Amino acid sequence: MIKLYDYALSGNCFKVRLLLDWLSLEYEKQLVDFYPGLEHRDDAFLAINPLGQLPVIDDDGEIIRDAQAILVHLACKYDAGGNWYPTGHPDLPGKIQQWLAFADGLTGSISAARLHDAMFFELDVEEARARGEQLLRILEEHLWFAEAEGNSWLCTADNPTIADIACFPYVALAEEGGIDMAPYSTIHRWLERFMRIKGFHPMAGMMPLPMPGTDL
Amino acid sequence: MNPSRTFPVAIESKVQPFSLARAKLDGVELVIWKGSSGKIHVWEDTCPHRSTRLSAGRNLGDQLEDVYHGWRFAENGTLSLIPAARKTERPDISVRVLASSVSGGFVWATLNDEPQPDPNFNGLPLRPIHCKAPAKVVNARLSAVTALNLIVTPWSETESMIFGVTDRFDKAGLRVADRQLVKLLRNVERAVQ
Repeated sequence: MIKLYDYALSGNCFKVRLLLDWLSLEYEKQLVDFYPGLEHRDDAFLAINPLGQLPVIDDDGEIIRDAQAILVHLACKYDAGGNWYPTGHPDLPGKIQQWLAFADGLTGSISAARLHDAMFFELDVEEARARGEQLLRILEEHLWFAEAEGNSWLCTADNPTIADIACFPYVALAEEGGIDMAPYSTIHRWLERFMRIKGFHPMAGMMPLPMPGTDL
Repeated sequence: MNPSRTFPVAIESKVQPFSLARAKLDGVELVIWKGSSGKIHVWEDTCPHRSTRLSAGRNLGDQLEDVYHGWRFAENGTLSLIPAARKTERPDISVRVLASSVSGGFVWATLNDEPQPDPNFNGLPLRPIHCKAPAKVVNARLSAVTALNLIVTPWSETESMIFGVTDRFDKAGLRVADRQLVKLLRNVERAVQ
């Protein structure tokens, strides 16, 4: 049985929960009170992840930290169809990896701004927002030219990959970090497509409701 | 030149059914949506109930639903449902509907009465690019760009959205034009900071 060290309001935990659900994997949650409890800084949790970061999974004794690494692990081990991380295509893994690293940049910028605004973390919020906006501009440009090529997703035409899962949460939550999302119309369309993936459920703080056009 | 202050606010083909798009015009935030009738609507992005962003809600096809208390508005902008008060008489309330029209592949809007789109603005649309500088400043800097047909939509006192069309480029050329435009606009941003 997989155990997920989880915090409901973490976008990085949310992306792991999404893939666990989409792969129909059973798992148990070990709740870590990130805020206000700061349990991720306790000795008990540091023994599991010395970096003090969520999420972590314990997959039958194998401890894996880092949201992006967990997505790779789950997709490689449990996605029999190979859709979420299509390693069979020589051009794709490098592209996907590029966006997994980009997702880490979103954590360091947009997520940081959100921690400042929503959970009173002390950091330079203007600088965090500025870096977040730089990344959003890069994403907007990429998705515009991807759309022009008929690609609905970051790396692929038809099926989303873990690259999309990795980048989705903090882009969708950016306004909680005080970033105006009005300038990014192409990103908005990608967010809407993502929320229309069958079985998608938003986490707390994501304003958009389940969208008509699919399940309604 | 443009006495009605009519500007492009979206690319027509990018406004999709069951979807909501956002823009701004002269300091007013906008929600843009395509109804079941096929018509594209441009409204102020504010629910008359508690002023939440309508664009955070849902395009149900024949109605737009606000996310907060589920108030619904018909395609003509009038209140069509208050879920919490189905049995009482509905008040006569409407969202602010902007005058808009579709022309040359763009959605045009104005805060005034009659939209007057620029009939010469058509062709393959460039990627709309956001710039954190007032339209007046952007226009002054863009006057040197003659290879592209550009319109700077004044989003707010500090922001613009630059729309463009061209019939001169292939795919690779479009990418180059995009890069050059971005470079120019980032210089404008640095200059006003």
